[in-house]
Amino acid sequence: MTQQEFLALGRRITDNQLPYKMVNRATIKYIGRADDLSETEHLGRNVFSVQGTNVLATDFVAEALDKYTGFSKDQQAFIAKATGEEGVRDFRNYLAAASSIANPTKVALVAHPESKTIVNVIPVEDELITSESFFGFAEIFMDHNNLTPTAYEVGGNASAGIILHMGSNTPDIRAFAPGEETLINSYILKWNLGQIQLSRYYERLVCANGMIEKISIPRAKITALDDKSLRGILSIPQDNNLLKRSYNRFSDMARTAMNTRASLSELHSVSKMLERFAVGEESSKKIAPYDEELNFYLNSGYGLHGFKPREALASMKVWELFNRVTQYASHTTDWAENDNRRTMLQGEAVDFLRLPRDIKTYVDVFAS
Amino acid sequence: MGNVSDKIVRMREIRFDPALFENYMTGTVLDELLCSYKGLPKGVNYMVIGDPGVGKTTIILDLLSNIRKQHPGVKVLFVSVEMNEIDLAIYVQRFPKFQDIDILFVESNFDDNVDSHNLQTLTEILQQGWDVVAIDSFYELQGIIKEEESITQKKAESMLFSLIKQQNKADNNAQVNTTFLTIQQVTKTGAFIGSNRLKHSITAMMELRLENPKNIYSERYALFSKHRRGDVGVRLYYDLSVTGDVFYNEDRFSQDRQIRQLQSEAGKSMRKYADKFDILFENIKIKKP
Repeated sequence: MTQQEFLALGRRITDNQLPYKMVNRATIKYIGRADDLSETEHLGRNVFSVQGTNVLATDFVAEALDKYTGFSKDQQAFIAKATGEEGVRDFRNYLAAASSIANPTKVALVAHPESKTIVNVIPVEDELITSESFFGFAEIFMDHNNLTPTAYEVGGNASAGIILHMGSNTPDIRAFAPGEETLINSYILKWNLGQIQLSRYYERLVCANGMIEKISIPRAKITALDDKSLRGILSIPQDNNLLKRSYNRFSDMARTAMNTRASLSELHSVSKMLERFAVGEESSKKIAPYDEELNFYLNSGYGLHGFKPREALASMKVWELFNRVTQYASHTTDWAENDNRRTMLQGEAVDFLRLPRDIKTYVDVFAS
Repeated sequence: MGNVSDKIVRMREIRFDPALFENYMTGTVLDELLCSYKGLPKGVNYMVIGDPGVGKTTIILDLLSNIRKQHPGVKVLFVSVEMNEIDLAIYVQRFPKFQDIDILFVESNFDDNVDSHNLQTLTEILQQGWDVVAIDSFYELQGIIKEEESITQKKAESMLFSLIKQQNKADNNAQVNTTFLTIQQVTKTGAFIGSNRLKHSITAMMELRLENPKNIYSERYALFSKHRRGDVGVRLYYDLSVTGDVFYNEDRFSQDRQIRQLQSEAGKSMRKYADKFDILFENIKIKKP
């Protein structure tokens, strides 16, 4: 990705940006379901009043707003049975008002201009960070840390979710094990309307598998463009001690994973992770063949009772399982090149690596 | 009594020498902070305030030396009211370039039998015509004038400021528009000492601050809290531990300026999308359930 392409991307995203507005959750009131939507084809039928103006919202938005106030589907069904739809409406508004008093929440409402419907709602901790601000910030970040843009990914909903990959102009390559040469000083910036998050991006040179390591300090995430937040996040790539610590931690995790067999339970949790990312069944079975290996145990006489998948060895080491996931995330043709699931899955794979291992590595003098 | 209408002028009728808008350069990144079109402007009054020990005198002497170096024909004067020759000798040891600056030492006379008038001396010297004059400090000088002339603090401030204004407008033998850099003391809480009139009359106020005011070893920065010629709030970090020159952190300065720009654009961009949102729902008709 050249600098020109980066600038063009910024312009394109900004030009196609869906309109949005930040409001206090307390100012959004549920009116009910619209039955006649006149001549306009709307995407949703939920009518809300936002600061006195009636708007339509999709079911996704209505559910998300309920989730913020803790109004579950079961509660809705119960109240609907007892007092009807009016009761649900009143209770929904009561909960929204009550929770806003206890915990004032700001949200960004994202509208679809053709259908004139609210299609997304994003919680905003401090301030709204627009796409223009994000690209402006990314330019400053790269400028001060000697980075250049290398790739980008966008979410399914262009209103929120851009991941920008940046590579260093002075690459730092380290090997945490023989044959594991890895480029360690690349970064990604992840943006949505409510925040910008910085993570480190590792790329194994041998297979070009990407690995996203979240930098676990408060400065790595900003929710407002104030001086302190900006200065903090801008300086992270220059904080050698922090980066050394985080790299050492990652190396330790990797070495443990290389020396440790995965458990069936870990295979299962990876297959569930793939399911959440809507990875096809065939690919998923190749990466984490949980059912197949479970059957192997069952067919070998291990009964269902007393069988503990956490204590049963899978056929592969944790590192191989991890690499299969990052290999899929980096190289699959099932997803578009700029699909942000690639980076998200790489991040979750590292989260998996970070977990305590089910099967510990023991010194075994008898193993041949 | 003259015709009051004569007092009204139009800017197009006032003629200025274009050279008046050619600034003095220091050759450092400080030029970008001093004025949006770089350098120290002519005929202006910049006040410099800051916590004790933050380096006000050093910064000003360094600035004067750098201007002399960049513009060898320019006449600069340092009016030292707080420090005597011996105090300044220490500065010269660390910053040898300060030794060639013209200095006027103004001292209180503690002998009641001697009638001294530093205001008169200063007036006569300024009348020669200087391009840049630094006063360290305004408050001390004001106090001496008050004592010597047996006038009030307010009157002393007026007399001093009237002298400065006169020099700003080139009312001197060399007909130069003198620029004044006046160091002003601050209270223990870091607030400006001086009247509101003084604060409103100056062109700009540069503050020298410690990142952590409770720690003299913390990082130091300069920023303008009032500026008719440039940006307010942009920090320029500096370091006095290097012998010879004040070190200005150029990279950090450029980052700070970019941050300001980003913050200013962010507000505009937020309003733009909120307006689009409001327009979208302005005329929509939803049949209520």
